[in-house]
Amino acid sequence: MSSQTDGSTGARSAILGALRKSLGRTALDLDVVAGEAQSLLGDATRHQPKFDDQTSRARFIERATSERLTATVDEVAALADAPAAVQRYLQQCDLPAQISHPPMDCLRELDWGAIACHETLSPDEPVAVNIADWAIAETGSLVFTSRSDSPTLYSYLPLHHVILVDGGGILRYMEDYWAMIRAADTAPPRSTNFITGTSGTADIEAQNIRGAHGPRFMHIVIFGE
Amino acid sequence: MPETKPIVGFFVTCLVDAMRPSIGFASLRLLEDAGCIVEVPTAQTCCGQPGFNSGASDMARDIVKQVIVAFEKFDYVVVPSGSCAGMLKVHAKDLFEDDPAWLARHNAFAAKTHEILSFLADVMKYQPQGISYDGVATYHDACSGLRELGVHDQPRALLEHVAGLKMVPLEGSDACCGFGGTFCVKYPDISNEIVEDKTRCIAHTGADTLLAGDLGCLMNMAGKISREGRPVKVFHAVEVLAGMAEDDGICQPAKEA
Amino acid sequence: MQQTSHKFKDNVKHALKQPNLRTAIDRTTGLLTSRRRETLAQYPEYAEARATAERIKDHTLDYLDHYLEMFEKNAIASGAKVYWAETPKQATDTIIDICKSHDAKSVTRAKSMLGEEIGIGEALAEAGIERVETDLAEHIIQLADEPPSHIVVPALHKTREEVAELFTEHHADPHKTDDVAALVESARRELRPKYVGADIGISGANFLIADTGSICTVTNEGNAELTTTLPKVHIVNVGIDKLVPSMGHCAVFIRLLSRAALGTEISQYTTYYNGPKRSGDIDGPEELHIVLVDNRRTEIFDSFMKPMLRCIRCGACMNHCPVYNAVGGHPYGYVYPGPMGAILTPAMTSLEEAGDLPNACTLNGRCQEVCPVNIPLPDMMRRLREEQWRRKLTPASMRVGLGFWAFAVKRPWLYRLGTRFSVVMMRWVARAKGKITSLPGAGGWTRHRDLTAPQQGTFMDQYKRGRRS
Repeated sequence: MSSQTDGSTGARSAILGALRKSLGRTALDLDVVAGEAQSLLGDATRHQPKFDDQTSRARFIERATSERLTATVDEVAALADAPAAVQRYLQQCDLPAQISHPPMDCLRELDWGAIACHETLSPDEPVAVNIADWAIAETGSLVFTSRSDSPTLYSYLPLHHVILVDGGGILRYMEDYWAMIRAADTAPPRSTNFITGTSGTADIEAQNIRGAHGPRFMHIVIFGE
Repeated sequence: MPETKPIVGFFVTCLVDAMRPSIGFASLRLLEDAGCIVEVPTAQTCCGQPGFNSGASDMARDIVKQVIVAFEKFDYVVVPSGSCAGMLKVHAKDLFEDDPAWLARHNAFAAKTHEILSFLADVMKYQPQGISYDGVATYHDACSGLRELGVHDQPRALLEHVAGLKMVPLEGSDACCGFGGTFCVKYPDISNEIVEDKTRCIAHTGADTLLAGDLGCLMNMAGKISREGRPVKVFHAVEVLAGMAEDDGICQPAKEA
Repeated sequence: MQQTSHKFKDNVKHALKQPNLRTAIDRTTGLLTSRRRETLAQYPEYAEARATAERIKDHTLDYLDHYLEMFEKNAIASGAKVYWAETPKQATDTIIDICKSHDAKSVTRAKSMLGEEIGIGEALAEAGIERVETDLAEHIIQLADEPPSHIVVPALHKTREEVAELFTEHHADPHKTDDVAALVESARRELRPKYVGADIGISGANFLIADTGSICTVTNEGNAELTTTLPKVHIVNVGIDKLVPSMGHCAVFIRLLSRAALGTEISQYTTYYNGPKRSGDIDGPEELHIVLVDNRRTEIFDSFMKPMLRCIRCGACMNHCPVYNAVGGHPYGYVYPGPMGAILTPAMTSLEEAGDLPNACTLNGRCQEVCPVNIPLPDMMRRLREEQWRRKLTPASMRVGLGFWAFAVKRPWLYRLGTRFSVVMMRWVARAKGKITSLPGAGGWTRHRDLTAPQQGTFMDQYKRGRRS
């Protein structure tokens, strides 16, 4: 690997050198660059799609259940009511009362009643239930981040992806999420996943087909106001 | 509309000069009817586009300069083609990037250069009167006029004043017809695929007449329509607007006298 | 891949003979363009977003050295390893070295055009490493052993019937039907075990976020995340043009990319990766390697083609290109087809090799009109033609012809004489038919269409004789 590293170092200086030669610039004031970058975004409302007449929750539900995203939505009063909603979904789909969920305390602590839960995830897991960190109203997206109790693959391996999300956690725009992360001033997680509807493909004659590699069905349970 | 009669220098274009003078005379009639005094400088030949689009910028530059010299004295320069007007008004400035004196001269020239349909509608606020055409027509938006000069609503607005003319929309009216100047002879098979799509869409409208504002594109589409034996007459929009479209269409035999 | 751009005209002849090609192209581009139109109609802020995106890219290019270093620093801080490569060979050597150091037998790959550019498929084959393409379209063309014909939907040239045949032949347990849903299911079943068995996952990146050192991928299938999360090593190969300053800037492009590419508000999976698996993480790769590739982007940067580096690889230009729609992507003979390919191919290979590409264009301007970052593609095509003219690469017949033309148009009297003569000749050939069906020297025109007969007497002659209307 050492020669590779040398090659890489050489390429690095060649690439940066070529760019600088072309730019013909001497000193760089980093504050000026940062200021310019920020001012380019200007007033974000000018390029964000407007939906002033809709609440974030209404927009989120409309988008998530659109023909394009194909999710189904259930609304319950509190997280404690989520298992009953999951039970309803399993019955509707004629699925066995069995789910996988990530090893999160808030999910372990729920009373799952007749539903058998496990915390392993097989490549062909039929149904997984997990909890989204946030939702985005603009696009009907759900945001997941990787943590020690929140593995990434829960959103990708199961056939049925059941997602619990706090009704108070529906942000209006993608930018609102990033502003929050920036304000928290912590390093971003290993993986931040914006998930919008079920896995799909348009690769054969541009026909939209569901369940390409990831989940074919998405059911969203919104809890709380 | 200007207070005094503006003096217009008319740039015929090489195709109209050689192939279809009636488009030029229809233009003169419309410009005069719209209140212009029209002159046709004899020093004109071509707008330089064949050279420009082939990368022969030096040749194109000489020709554009020749056009500017011959036309800069007029109040307006009017061209019955979006692509030649686009060449002279928009693209030609690229030729003078390193020549500030000519760039300035070109700027002044470009500011008063117009494609004829947009000139009649936007500058002269012209509305044809007492003109009729018995037929159902569809309109193709030739690309240069559409994208370089914003010619889209003007021909439709003008044609609204033609009695007896029914306009029907053309699906993909903003898609290229496959002409592309020298493209159609450099890549004839590709050009043919594209124009076949266009004539299929034209036939689909059920129109008996095809109109557009650029003779190159019209010759391409008319040539294909003729080869396919479709019953569609093809005219430049000014021919209809000037009441001069009762004669032979493009690619049709002249009526016997 | 084996470049065939120099045989463009032969490639076109071959493409036009394919009985199903137009059907396949029309089925896909027809849907993509109409969906794009519909989704933009619901986004009145589009023009503002497009202008903002253009400015962000230009700003990023103006400080590209700075942003690359910023990205590198933050990516390393997140635990990733960053490599730089000037040439495709350096890039593949780097990747193969990483694979070998892990004794990798099998690699899953999530589609990236940069991977095609550097020839990652050939490099892995040479190293004896199994390559599993996980993007459905890439899977199809891997089975068919064909190059991609589109940058977003690489198997666009295949009809569903042709895909059905391929799957029946190659899949262990295929659906014997050309119903598209059944075909997708068949691929899912076939690829599932391969994801789990792979030693290394290779992906590209749609964006690199400078101020966090993040990689962003955008997919619909979810194959990228399976490729990048399951194996113990994740390698990213990415061009140096993919930078954006921050997540906020990236959001502008996320809104434009899927709308332009597929006519959807957003793709299903937009993922931001920051370094490898952290302590306590249950899944994720143990190592993340990022290979930043130049492949002549620095030369493009220093030329009139610089705006090309704004490109976000949405494919809208080709979906709307009449030439691409007539012949598909293969005749272009390289990784990138259509209008953006007609610029990138000469830039990344040579104008000698790809001389036809900037010429096989009608300059109709629709590509620029639909481009979400307003790249002046037609103007760059013309400038490439100018370079060909200057370097005497334009065919001799063209040079001679234009020489005569220029000589005449600069002399109005001579020009009139020539026109008058041509008109008489054409009228004689056409006689009373009003059209010419075959004309020596004009076969390019008359092979497919008639040539209208000129009217009697040129405009200038009639005008001189006093005709005024």
